[in-house]
Amino acid sequence: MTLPASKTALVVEDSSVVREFIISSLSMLPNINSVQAANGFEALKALPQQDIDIILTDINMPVINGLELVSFLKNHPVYRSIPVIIISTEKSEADRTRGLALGADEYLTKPFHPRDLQLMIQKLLKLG
Amino acid sequence: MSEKESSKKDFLSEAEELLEELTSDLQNLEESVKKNNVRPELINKVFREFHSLKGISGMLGFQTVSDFTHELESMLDYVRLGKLPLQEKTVDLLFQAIDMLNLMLAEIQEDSSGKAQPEIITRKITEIMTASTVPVHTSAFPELDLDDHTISSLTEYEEHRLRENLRNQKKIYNVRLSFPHSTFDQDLREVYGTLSKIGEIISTLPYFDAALATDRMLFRLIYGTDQSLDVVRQILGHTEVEIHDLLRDRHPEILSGTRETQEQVVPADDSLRSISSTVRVDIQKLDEVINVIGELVISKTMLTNLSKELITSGGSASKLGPAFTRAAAELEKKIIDLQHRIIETRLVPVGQIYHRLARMVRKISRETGKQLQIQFYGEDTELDKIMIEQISDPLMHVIRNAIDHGIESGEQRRKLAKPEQGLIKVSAFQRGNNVVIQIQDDGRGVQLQKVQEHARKRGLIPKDRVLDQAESLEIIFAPGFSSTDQVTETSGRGVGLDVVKRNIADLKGTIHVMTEANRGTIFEITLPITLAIIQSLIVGIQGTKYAVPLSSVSETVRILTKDIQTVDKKEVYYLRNKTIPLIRVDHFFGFSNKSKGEKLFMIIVPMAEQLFGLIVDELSGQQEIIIKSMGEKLKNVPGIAGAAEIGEKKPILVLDAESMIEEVTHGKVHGL
Amino acid sequence: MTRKNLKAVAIKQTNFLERLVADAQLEEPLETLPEPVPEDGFEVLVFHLSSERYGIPIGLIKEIIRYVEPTEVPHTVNFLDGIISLRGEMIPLINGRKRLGHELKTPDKRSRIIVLQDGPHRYGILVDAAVHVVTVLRNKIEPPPPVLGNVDATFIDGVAEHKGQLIILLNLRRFLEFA
Repeated sequence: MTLPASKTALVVEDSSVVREFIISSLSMLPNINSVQAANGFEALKALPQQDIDIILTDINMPVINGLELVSFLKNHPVYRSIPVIIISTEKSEADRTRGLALGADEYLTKPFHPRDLQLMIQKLLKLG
Repeated sequence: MSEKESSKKDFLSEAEELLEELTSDLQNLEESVKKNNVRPELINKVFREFHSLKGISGMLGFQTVSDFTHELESMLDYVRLGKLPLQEKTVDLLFQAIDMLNLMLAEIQEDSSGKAQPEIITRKITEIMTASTVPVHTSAFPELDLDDHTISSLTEYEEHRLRENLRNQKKIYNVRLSFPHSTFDQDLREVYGTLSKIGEIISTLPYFDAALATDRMLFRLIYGTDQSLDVVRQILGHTEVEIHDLLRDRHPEILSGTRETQEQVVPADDSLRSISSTVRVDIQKLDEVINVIGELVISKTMLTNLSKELITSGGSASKLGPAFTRAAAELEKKIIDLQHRIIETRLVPVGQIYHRLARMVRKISRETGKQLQIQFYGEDTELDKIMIEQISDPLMHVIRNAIDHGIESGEQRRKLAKPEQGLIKVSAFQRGNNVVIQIQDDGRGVQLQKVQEHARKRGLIPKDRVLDQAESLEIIFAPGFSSTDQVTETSGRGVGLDVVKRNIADLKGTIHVMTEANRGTIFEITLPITLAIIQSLIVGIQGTKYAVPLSSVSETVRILTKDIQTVDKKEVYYLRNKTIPLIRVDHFFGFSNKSKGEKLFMIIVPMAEQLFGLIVDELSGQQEIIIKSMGEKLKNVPGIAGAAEIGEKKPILVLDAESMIEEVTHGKVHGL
Repeated sequence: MTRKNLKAVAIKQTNFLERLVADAQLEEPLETLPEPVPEDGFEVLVFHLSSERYGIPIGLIKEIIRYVEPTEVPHTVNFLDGIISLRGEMIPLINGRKRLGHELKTPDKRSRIIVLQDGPHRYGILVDAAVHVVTVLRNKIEPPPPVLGNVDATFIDGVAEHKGQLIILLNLRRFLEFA
């Protein structure tokens, strides 16, 4: 019997408590590992270190923000195929629109229910 | 702890940190508003802090906090986007908001409600925001040669910064950087550091270019500065960089004439600093480094011994002896310096827990209805990080105790002509190799009579026993002693000074009490600064060496066996008109042979305002040692603090003088 | 046993011991007394105490070192010889013979100290000699016979037979109990 391959999610978010929350929501899904980054810059360092299957990112972060990260990813021949979910606040409507325009696949508004995140991930990763 | 309580605890601790940081940032903000010199990074920092606070409170279900912070975040957003001017009254309102948030957090901690009324502040925020009349800008930058790519990835905030820079007549450059994959993080940080000193990095976009090598990371910076392109290129030195000016149609007139003086140094963005200037280190790794250094010390000792042998062996090589000795001495100095520095990395200021204590006092003040004031001294005094965490509960218990039993009610205080506010003073200071924390109150003092009655009632002492002051002050630490009928709780744990004493003993510390009727009480907790390096006396008992930490010792005296007197079946020694009770260490450890020599050494250990003498056979000198624990199972051997290497064949045991004295003297109080 | 097999066993022993020594550099402690791997066998370190051969699962062994004189610690259980310093870390040394009720013997060249890791705690056990590693098959483990010299039966998990000799499998939980 072969088990489904496990997937790795990269969580990019500057508040450690919010990051923890997202990661524990993810841990309720089977076969999902997570990797964390505190901002876009850290995310860039994490990308080449393992195979990332999906990325969740906040927008407002220091140094390299979420939009710049999405722009980089979607213009990169290797990383462009990784689905990206933007986690935004209701306030930043303009930023969210830009994120989608830059190629992000989905967005989630904070605060969200862990179930919504899980459904979204299952859909994007085409899990059963 | 349930998951819910655990996430509440996490939330409160992170929220507290944020609020502390915010308070400090607002103070800076207030200063800069007064000087009319507000840095955008500071506004951005405050904005991000509110943003984080909103995020974590929303995530964990603390809706009121989240909604309130949302308003604050919106206001800050307006400010950072230039839509709302920052004035003194705005900052003042922010201070009020922080106070309100602290109150809300306190309510969350105690599961209470009703006191906090954030609406008052939100109303003012709405007023301020609707009154602002700064027009909103459109997004395009016709004067700049920006590609769509860049424009579309600028956030609203970055756009605002770009506009500001343009308005201040800065030059805008597009700086393209290329770094090797393996080092791009350090390289980029360096470039950031350099560029931030003379301009503002408005945006950083990582990008990919198929034409260039794939083992490099590429970044495009949008940079605003007064400096010329050549200067910037020069400053970046050998970094692989391509810079070009983004402004089309530059008008030379703008450069001459109203030229401002050199831009004052813009400090690096706080956010970048937070990535690079501190590192989190596992305490265990530090311990391992300390171990290695300990072995270095042993090697050095061997070198010193060899050099001595070299000198005494004669022959031509012995001329090298003195040089050898000097080299070893140098090495020793450097090793000790290294040891101390590593140990310092574990040290953390006591002030860190003062906030928790202050909050608790405020809470108890509300609960008991007693008016209280708490003062802190010595917040910079440093303690080992692990100890700081573990001392905070015992301190809270002691303070709780002082408030419950020490501080009288408002009415009683008035009658006694004491100020209505009860005073609690927490001071921390260094004393030799120890840190002392004192908790002083100006209450009624320990009521010795009541203590004795209570001890009798609890069966701790026989009915007809009368205790002197010292004994009364010790018995309050006895297990089973508790002065009130209801058990008061602090942070969900049972209270009792016996628990406090045990916790402090676990940290190899001691606690004792001083009191004066009606004036107040002082609880004094003494802790070793670090469990690592301790100056010690090396003593010999029946041929085996032991170490006694110098911090416990006030004096060593050589005595003659025949001068030891016996009073009441106990051995004592008279020194300068003081009677010093003696403890024979060999006897304590149950060694069969008693010390037979004519001459012995007495090590004087002060404890709780009394002097005691430990008897040993020899005194070999002094040495700095590192006390190591002997493992979980051997933690509580009476009279032994641990073991240490001194560069000899086997490790030696380190004596715990205080616990030895307690064992011997407290047999009688507890009827053991 | 043919010459070739002897050599193979010798290599296996050396490798194990080297591995154990190398393992001692590990930063992560091994897990607390884990259950042996649920296959049909597990590896056991065999050592001598008096005339008996004892075995403990190798998963708990951090390293094996030569005898070093311990520092005595007063007011502790009698089977504790004292503490030794292992690269700066102080660990208690249990006298294997004393613990199991055998006669005492002065340590000699063959004596070894087996360093065990039980969660965050480390212990040393003084034994007469550390022999080799064998694989014990679960279905070959018998309950202890009612009389096994003067060794307290609670210390024994079972006995296994290996090439004609009896290996007494120790119950480490009980052995390491300090009260």
